[in-house]
Amino acid sequence: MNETERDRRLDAAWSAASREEPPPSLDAAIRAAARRAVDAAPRKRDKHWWYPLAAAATVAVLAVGIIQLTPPEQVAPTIVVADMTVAPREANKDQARPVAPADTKIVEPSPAITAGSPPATPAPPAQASARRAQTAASGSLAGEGGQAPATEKDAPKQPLAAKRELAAQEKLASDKSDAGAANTAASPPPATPATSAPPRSEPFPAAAAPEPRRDAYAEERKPAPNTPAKAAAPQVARSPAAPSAEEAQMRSRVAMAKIATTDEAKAKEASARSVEEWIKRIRDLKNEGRLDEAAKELAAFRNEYGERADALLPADLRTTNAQPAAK
Amino acid sequence: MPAPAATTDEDLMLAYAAGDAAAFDALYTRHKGGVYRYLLRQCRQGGVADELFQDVWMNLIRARASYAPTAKFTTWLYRLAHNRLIDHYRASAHLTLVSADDEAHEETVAALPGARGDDPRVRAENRELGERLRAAVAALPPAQREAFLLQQEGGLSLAEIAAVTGVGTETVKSRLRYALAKLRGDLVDLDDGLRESLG
Repeated sequence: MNETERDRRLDAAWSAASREEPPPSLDAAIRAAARRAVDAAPRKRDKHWWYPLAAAATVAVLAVGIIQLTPPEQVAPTIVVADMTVAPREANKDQARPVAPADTKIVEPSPAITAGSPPATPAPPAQASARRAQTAASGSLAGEGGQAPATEKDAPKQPLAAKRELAAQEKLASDKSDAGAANTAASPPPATPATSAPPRSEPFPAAAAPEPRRDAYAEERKPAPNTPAKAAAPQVARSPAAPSAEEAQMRSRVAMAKIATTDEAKAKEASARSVEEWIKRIRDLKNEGRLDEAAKELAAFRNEYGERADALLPADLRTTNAQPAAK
Repeated sequence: MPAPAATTDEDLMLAYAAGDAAAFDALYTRHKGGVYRYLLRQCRQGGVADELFQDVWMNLIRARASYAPTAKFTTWLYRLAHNRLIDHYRASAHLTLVSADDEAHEETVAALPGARGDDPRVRAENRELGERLRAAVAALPPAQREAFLLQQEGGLSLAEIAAVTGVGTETVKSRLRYALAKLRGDLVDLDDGLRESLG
């Protein structure tokens, strides 16, 4: 027999002789300790419960940070301006229709009612719809968090846009004065920024703003012209026989002035609009003998163009420069 | 809930590490006797054996999270018991006395604890045989006794005994050979009676 093999007789004898067991109290204590250890120990799946939450928070912080750092006017407004340069009126229609069908009527007034007048009242809906289109375009990239910063950035631009609108209306008024269709007092410029400014300051003007506009449109449909009750009334007093081509041109210009935000578009529009008109007006005033008014206009022109004013002015008007100072 | 008998020790230990307290009950039921007797035969004192036994299982409970089934569960369990026993030997000053096996037969036999869980029938039939056998095992040198107890109580193989005790397989084989030879020599006069009692 191999010595390392187990001796069956000895194994049996040992198993018969060795039968001790631990005391029951010790059994109970050990089993209880084992259960306590299991109950007190945290589960494995509870250790990393915060991983998905931390990942989601990190993604959210990164998204908000990217939105804050991305200038919205470099993304969406460029597209809008490109559309407007091709077909401003068509773009106005396309942008206004899907968002607010009720505003479409205001954007497209009938030629018989608003011919030859600056579309001060219809402009805000088009502007609002364009702004909504911008917001929607930027929202696809930025989500809801990107709308508030865009609104804050639009706020400083409000005086510039109002200034452009004012200049466009002044040009229209001067055209009218040249044609003799209306006097210059019939279109007071300060009323227009007052009506168009509030929708710009509102981040979501679709809810509250359209109601006054509909009222203004109703005012426009009234047959009685020159009603001084409301601020929009002087703008309603227009000649129904004014050419529609001029109206379309002016309305497209105003729409461009409201929507275009790039610096290049701003400079191009300002240079195309102002100098000749200024010179013409100053020269007319001078020819009519109204030298004080001519000097005021000249001073305003110099304020507008600064050091470039002398270069832009013709020689005969440069000499006029000394007259108001002498007076 | 009792674990099925087909479930291995390793699966039960993994289940307990995952939070299944019933798996521990099954494991404990399977191995409590062998571990207890291994400690009892080694330390030869009932109270000390109880303390060591509780420590071994508490160590297992604490180490449940780090358990990996790279070897048999019994190998891991008896290594815990072996290490605890070594700590006990080092903490007590009786290691040399216990190891002096040749002249301490009578003392060690007298120090053997009584059989607390013995079957009365078996104890009555094999009282003399059992006492002689326990005395002979207690008289073995500690290394031989440990190898013999790990084989008998834990059911470990030579390689597993070598893993528990930290020695080579050949060393274990040699220890077992000497232990069996010694036990046969001590029980030679009872050989005929042993044959009859075992049938």
